Amino acid sequence: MGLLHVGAERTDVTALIASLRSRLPACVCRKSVALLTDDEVSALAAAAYLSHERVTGAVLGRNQLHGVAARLRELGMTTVDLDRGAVLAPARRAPGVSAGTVFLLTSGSTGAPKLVAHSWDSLFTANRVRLEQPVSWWLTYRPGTYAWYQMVTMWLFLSGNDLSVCGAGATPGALDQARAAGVDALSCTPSFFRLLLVHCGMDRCRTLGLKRVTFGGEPVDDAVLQDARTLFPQAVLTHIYASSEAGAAIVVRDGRAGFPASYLDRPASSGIRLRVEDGVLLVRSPYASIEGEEWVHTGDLVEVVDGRVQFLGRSGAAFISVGGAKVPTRLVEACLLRHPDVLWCKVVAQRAPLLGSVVAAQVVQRPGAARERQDLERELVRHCRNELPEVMCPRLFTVLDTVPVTAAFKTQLETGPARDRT
Amino acid sequence: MVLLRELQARQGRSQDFDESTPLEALGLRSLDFSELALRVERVVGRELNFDAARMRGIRTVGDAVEFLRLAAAPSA
Repeated sequence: MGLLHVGAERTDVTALIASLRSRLPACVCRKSVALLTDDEVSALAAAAYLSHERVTGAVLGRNQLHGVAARLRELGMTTVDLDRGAVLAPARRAPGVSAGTVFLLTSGSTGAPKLVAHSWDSLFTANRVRLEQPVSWWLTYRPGTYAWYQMVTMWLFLSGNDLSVCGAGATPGALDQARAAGVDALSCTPSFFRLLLVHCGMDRCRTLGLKRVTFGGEPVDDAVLQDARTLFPQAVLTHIYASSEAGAAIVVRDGRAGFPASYLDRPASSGIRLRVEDGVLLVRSPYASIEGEEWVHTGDLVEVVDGRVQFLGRSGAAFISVGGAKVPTRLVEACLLRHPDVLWCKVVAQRAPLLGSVVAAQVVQRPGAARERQDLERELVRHCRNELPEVMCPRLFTVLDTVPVTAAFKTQLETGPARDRT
Repeated sequence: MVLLRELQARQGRSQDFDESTPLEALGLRSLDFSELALRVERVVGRELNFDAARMRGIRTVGDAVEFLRLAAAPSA
């Protein structure tokens, strides 16, 4: 088991579990329980408690209860507000799932949040990751999500892997706390990494001297991998494809976006199988939800180019129709990210007269690149025209000051054509 | 005319034109015209009403400006 660093303090898991037990009402002892808290340390204590007691449970933020409360009751869980020490909803029936089931809450970035059943065995995937030496991880993921549990299980089940809780978000204060705590490994979404660059600048980020950088939670592009390599040339660079339903499926260590097409043909003995059906990635993994289908339809569109499988986006939102021509948003984004002044971008459909839609782009400039909006717009039009067919070139640009993210530090997914973005 | 000049500048094309200049000479295509109409919509704050028959008659910059002016006028 690892230690937990909270500021200058260090706590071991046993002490954390003891502190949580003292806050649990006696009536829920060893019963199936949904533990609500907005405190990161309490959330870790809650997960450690569930793992130690092997009781069925879930760890949720207090504002995440809405929409899943009835389902939690159906599952036979008593809901406890840890921050207030109160039982909110007692269980009315025995749980219909095996003891030790852990329910994750999906981030809701692709629809309404839902509960996904796992076991501690299905959540513990770190035996697939080569960790030559123990490291101290900056915990950046939102409590209760799949990526968060990946970090939690490493901390609980792998000796010497410490976690650091560093305060809210990708801020200079959090970075300073991470450095003070001796963090030498970062696992985060690409959007979190870019926010860190925007808010802290390249030089301050470099002071972390990371030994490992792992990206997950959203599609990874070459530009963010290159930034990580430039800042931390000694670091082991990995990106992971995983989801609450499919579990951990792909670990890529060659530092390039996408994954080798040879992964699609791996034998069943490898444990994880991947295939592409109608352009959509399907996954069969021993780390998948314990209640799902054998083959999980990921909803992620992919294409194989030159022996590499590249992600095109979510099915239904990966293309923009411009006068009948289908424009793959991911290719436009990849083009924009190749421009040295662009740190982040999001390509969306903009409803337009005559052609139905045109391509629009939101962009964030790199720290230090301080072009005027009009100048940047002209430069990006020129850049795109040199690399893309005319129909794929963005016609409207919105320059943002920072990377817009969801609470889970992911880029907000579009649910429909953008209107009136300026 | 201002929006058209800005569009031409963004696209790295000639801004040397007047109302009598044929659109072909500016290299203006349907994508440009769609963008231009969208920017007009944003300025006037409402969707344009297109007269398809009139659109086919557009030859010069002046025709296009007049067409967009009519399309942007509040419908009766």
